Amino acid sequence: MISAASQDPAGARRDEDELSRLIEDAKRGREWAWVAIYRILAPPVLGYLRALGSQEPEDLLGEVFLHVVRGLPAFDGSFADFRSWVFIVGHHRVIDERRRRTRRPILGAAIDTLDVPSDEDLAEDVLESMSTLRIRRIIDGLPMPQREVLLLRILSGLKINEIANLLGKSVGATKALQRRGLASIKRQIEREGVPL
Amino acid sequence: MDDFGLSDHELDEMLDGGSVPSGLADIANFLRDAPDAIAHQPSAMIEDRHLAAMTQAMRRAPEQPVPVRSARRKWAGRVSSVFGVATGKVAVTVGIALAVGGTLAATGQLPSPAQRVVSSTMQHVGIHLPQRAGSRRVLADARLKGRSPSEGLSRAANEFVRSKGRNASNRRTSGANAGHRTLGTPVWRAIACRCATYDEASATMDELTADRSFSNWSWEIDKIEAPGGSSYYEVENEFAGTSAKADSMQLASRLREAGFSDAVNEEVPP
Repeated sequence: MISAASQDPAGARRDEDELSRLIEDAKRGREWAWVAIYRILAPPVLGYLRALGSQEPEDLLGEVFLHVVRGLPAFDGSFADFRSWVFIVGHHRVIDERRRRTRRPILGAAIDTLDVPSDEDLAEDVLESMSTLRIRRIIDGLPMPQREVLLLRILSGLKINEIANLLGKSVGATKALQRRGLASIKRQIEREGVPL
Repeated sequence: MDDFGLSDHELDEMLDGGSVPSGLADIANFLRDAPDAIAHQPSAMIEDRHLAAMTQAMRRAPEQPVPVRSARRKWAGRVSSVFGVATGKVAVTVGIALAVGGTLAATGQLPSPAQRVVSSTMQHVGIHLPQRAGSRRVLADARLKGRSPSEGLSRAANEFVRSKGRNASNRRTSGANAGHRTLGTPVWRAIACRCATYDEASATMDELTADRSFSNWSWEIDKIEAPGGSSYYEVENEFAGTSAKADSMQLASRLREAGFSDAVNEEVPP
């Protein structure tokens, strides 16, 4: 099983090489490579889509990977580049969904946003650590622009200038959002008084 | 700045998993744990559905036709490799190709993307060539300022598209620059494909853009030929100006809503 990251630098490089080979295998049409890529990237991308407030994150995730399958022949780069690209595609899909939603508001959205957990959700929540729930809650509490920047920074591997480019903001403004987001997180952690 | 007392560089380093400044252990832990906390495993059913769709798309991929617009990249690659190998044989080949290509370019008979590249390149040295195959005829129609896109396309141009086959394309403009070939540098584009006929593609575009809400926008319909002999029509919209990105996204959304599941919205590479 290939892990997305290793603790030691040599291991990380080895992993990176193996992951990059996965892309080559996927380009050659080997299905197992696509399955591996999906299993590595789908969870963080789905988490990203959900954290950005997507109404139908699973559907968007499917669209993202279909786009990636079609675009892969033209892709050239490392797995880190590939990962960044997948997140960029995901980000565009969320923006498109927001636009669609703005034009066609979903009736009953107010009820949906109450987000009453089902029994299944509750059981799942119990299994999750408090730390995980707390992190999600803190992230969800950030204003959307700060959330976008920090999530892209933490999950996608994009550099700050690339994030600025993706979001259509200046590098300075993006850095300021990143700094303010981290400051909010720090304040929230201090306010709650429980170390992570 | 006062929240951390750290430089941007130090913050960046912390975000990249590097050294943690004293007093920021909590936030470093947060950043370390956040990827796992945010990640959300798709259900087995969703995963199966996605992988099945990906497999289907992948199996289709080898038969996927090469869109006409990629010809520009192919040409660029060939030219650069030609210059990398300076042999007499190659030089002769290039000479012949240039002579033939030059004749085709001068008469606007090259494939549209190649015609665009040759035309814009030659403009730098003061030689003006048609921008694209059949551009004179198409532009004549495009000058019908204020009309909806398909109204600007004559029967003759339609016939031209059909008869030229894979290299045929029409580009029309709208907005303040209607009728001019150049909108400014296009920066975003929305693409959708797989219309069975030219008329279907054209009618779809008419319907989606009937409100004329886009400016600095042009579009073309390219016929794409698949290796197996089948073909389809692809609609490519290019946007320039300050609202290019927003307009392109909006149109891509409209295209998807209209059933073009493969509509893409992307930045035009510089």
